[in-house]
Amino acid sequence: MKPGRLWLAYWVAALVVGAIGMVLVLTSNHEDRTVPTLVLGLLLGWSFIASGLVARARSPENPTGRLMVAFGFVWFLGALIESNRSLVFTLGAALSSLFAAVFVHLLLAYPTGRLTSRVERRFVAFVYVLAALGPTAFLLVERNPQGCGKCPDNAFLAFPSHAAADVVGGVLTVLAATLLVTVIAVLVRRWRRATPAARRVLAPVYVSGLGASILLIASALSGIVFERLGSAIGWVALFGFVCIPVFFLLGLLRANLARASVARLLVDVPEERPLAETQDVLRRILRDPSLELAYWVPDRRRYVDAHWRPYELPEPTVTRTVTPIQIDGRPVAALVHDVALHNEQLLLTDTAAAVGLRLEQARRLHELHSSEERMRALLDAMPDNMYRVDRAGRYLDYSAKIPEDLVLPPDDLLRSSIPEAVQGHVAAILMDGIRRALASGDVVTVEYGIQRRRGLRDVESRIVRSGEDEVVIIVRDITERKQAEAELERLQGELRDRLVELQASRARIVEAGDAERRRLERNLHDGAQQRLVSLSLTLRLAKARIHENPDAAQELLNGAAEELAHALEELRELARGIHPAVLTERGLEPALEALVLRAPVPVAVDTALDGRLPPPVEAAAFYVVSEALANVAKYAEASSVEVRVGRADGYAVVEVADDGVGGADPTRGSGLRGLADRVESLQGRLEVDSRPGEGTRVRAEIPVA
Amino acid sequence: MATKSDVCEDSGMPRILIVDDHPSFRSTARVLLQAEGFEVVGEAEDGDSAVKAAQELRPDVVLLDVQLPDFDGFEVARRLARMNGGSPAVILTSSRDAADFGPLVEQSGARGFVPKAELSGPALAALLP
Repeated sequence: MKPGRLWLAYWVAALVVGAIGMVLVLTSNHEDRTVPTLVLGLLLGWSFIASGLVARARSPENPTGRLMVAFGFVWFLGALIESNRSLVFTLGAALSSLFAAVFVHLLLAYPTGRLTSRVERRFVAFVYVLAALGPTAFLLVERNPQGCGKCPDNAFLAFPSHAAADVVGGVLTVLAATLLVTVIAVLVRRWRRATPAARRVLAPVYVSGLGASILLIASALSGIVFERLGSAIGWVALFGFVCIPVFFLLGLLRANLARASVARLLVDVPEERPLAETQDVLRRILRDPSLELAYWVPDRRRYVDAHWRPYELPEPTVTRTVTPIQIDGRPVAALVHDVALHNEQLLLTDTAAAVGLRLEQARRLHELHSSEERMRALLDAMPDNMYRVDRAGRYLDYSAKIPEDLVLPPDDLLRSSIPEAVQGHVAAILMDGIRRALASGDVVTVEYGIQRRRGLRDVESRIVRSGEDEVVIIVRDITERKQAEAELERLQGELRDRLVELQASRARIVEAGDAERRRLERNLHDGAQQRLVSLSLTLRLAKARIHENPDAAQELLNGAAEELAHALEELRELARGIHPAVLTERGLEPALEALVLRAPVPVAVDTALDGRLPPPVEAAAFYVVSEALANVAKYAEASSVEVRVGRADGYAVVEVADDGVGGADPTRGSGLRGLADRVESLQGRLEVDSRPGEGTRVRAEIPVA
Repeated sequence: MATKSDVCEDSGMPRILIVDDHPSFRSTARVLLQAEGFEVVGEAEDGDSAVKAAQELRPDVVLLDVQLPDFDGFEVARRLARMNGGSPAVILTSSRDAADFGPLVEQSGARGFVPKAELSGPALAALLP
């Protein structure tokens, strides 16, 4: 049968049994106090059954409920004595004391519902035997067991004997009294040994039970002397009995009520003082002021007390025991408490579980806090701005070493997220970095440019996974580094360009040298050499004719002399072109004066040199003027030229300006290009300013060491 | 420039064409060679006019300067060798030494080389058959 149906069956049975008892009482012809008997008899039986069923439902593992139900039904057996039929009446009389045995069992087994020792079990068994057989033995010899005149005949009467009845009755009375005293003594002894926690459970039942028992005894004793008074006291005693099941129930329910308050453990304890507060709450809930909470510290592999002092778990004693608390097989804590708490095993189990959860939660919170503190210390130690951000890019925390570089004012930051706070392309880079950092667990580094209050900055962000669903982003401004890199790159580029230019310049210089040598060779060949060849032939011809035709020879010799003069002139010109001797011997100023004398247009020379320049500089300056004047003669259609030579800031400055047509292109033609090469090979600079119609100005600046 | 000689139309002397870009050399060479037994039939100042003059004048000998403004004497010599109706004997000359030109003189098909400073009728005649 299902528990629910069983429950219902008990209630129905109780009603049926009560109804039968009620019928028996109402139809009885030997019951003088019908109404009180009816009311109190039903009340007592039903109150025990009802309380027992409630207790059983609340604490199914505790047999107390079942014992109480049994008491109720056994109590109703006593109603058989109201029957007018002899056999039923006699059976009722025989079983009329059985309820007392169940009551003794109940009292001794309370509150666990179990007898704890063999002695107790034998004692209770003896009480049951006596309660079942004692009245039967009395009925065998006593004609009128109830002492009433209208009662039916005793069906069990086998050996009617007043003397035997007195003996049996006396023995039973003494035995009953002895048993009663023994029970009281046991209970008193238990009471005295009980811890305060245990006494709170025992007190209501013991007081009511003891009271009821004393009243019953008083009723029995006084009944002999004052029947009427005795009856009155008997009713009071029955009232006491009616209260007993309620007190039993209360005692049992207290444990359940306490269990309900266990949940408060999870909310009542402040986080900062978990151990001491938890211990206080436990003492309140379990009603054991001596309870101690021992907390397991895994790092130290030992217990501490509520004030974090080292603590050794005590060996269990008669009054104190230890309940370990574990979560997933790992020790979390232990409760050192009164053994009486085992009477409330469920409460203890629930409390231990709740404490375990609470402390484990506290431990994790503590670990989280220390982890956060370490993180915070780390954040504080870094020179960069940092953000703690979740998977969705929401800001969880930040460390602002450079507050003006925060993406938002501090007050707004923690209400915002990366997609909301930064420019779109940067947000995309960062969110992708966050995704990669969370997926891989590696440090992800991203670079991007971002608009800040102090302008567009280059930024490097390192993204580190810092939890299941969050990362730390360390943001460093690398603008200066980037600029330095760019500057380095620029310098390297410049250096490369210069090397290329240098190689080109060297190639051009070599080429110019080759071209110059070709020109010289050609000039020699076409000029002086041809003239000398002709001269040689003419002289040979003159020699051949000198005798036969002196006049013709004379003419030939005149021609030869002229040819020789031309040859010499050409050689001089050529030598001057190779390197002007006056430049080497006398310096730049006389060389320029000699140069301009041969120029086809008037040239004004203004030289302001203090002493001679280094020979390479002199040569470069001379050729600048020489080439510029050659160009003037060839292209400029100028009417006058000015040549200025001087020093300025460690440079030799040479300038040739004409008033011609201008429009010279220094990149075309080998003349100016060769000049520039020559000047640049001395770390100098050649400028040609030749706008059409505004004349041409060639300016060279050559450093003088 | 090809000029037809007006002297000794059929004297039995070797007929010679002088090719050089220097007028002073041409005139000196003309006087010298005429004095030393050659009939100068014409002068040319570059390679192109030299080939044309040779075809027109049909000289026995061409005195050919190596260095000319358009193409050099070796090239002119090769063209004269391919001329229709018999080629003239070519004698190269230069103000440089023959050694400056290496094997070019021999490969050109020319009959010989005379340095300009050593030019004379007998020097040319010695190179002719």
